Amino acid sequence: MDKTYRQWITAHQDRVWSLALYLLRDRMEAQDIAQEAFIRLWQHREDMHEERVGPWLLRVTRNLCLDKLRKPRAEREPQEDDLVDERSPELVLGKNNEASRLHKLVAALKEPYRSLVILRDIHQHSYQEVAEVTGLSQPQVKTYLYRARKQLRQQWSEQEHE
Amino acid sequence: MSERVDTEFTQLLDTFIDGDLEHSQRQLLLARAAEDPALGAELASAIELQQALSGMPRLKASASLTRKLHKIPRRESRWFSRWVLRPRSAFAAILVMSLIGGHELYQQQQHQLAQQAELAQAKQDLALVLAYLEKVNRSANTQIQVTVNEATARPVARITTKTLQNQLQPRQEFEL
Repeated sequence: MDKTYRQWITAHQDRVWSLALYLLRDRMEAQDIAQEAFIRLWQHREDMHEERVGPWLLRVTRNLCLDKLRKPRAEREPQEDDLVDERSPELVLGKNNEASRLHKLVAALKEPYRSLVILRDIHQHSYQEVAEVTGLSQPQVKTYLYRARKQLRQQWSEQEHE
Repeated sequence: MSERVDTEFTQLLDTFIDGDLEHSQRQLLLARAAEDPALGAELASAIELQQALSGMPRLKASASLTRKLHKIPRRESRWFSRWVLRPRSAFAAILVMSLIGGHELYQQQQHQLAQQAELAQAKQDLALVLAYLEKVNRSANTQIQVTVNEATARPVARITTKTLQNQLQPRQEFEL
């Protein structure tokens, strides 16, 4: 089991980490969430089917992030090194102004729009996977994503004209 | 560009972005974009935005996070052994369980003792009542016997004889 679990870490850690960081925009919080998600995976490892691990992990990660985001910032135990976080998305994307600007626009979207854009348009998951992760139906995913993209395009072009 | 056309075009655009647009619809979209500069600009903007989104980095987990994730099985097992399998914890757990169990047992015994005392008292009360009833019964029997004996031993009283005689004598008013 240990070996299988290690394989799951290798296969899914980047996607879990990336989703958490895009949603929370805070390295320490994203790290806590990623660990929590994998602890839960370890606790549920016995009744986990191989093909369900990916969507399950992303769903748990997203739910944990949304719970975290619902709390006021002051309650979210800010860490000292948040300020010097060399791997927060803005700083990772900092070299690329366009990507950094876009990430801010995505981060400003409301749920579930934000998660849908991250999962579908940034992480390139299939509609079926996105539906599994978010708990929405595929038509709902398409409808919400349509609205999210429209809003994003509008804001994107508005910023370009500024 | 009407609102309806705009919505229709945006929906086509969305399907186009997902790569799910059929050839004929794709031709239609491109034709409309070529005819209308506003739609053409929207199509260009959508493609640009989509390329920018798909080009955004998928962030890689740091080496420190990977190490922490690999430690989870050991840490979780340690947590279990720390609290359950270590002698001191085990002794504490057994002690706590014994105390709880002992207390439960003591309460059960107290309850049983109280029940037994109540039962003994009830038996005693019942015996008293039965003795009393027996005594009353004996006294009633004696009284009945005395009464019956007296009644059979007494001779017929004079007044009774006289009354019977009066009844047997014919009444004068009916004589002719």
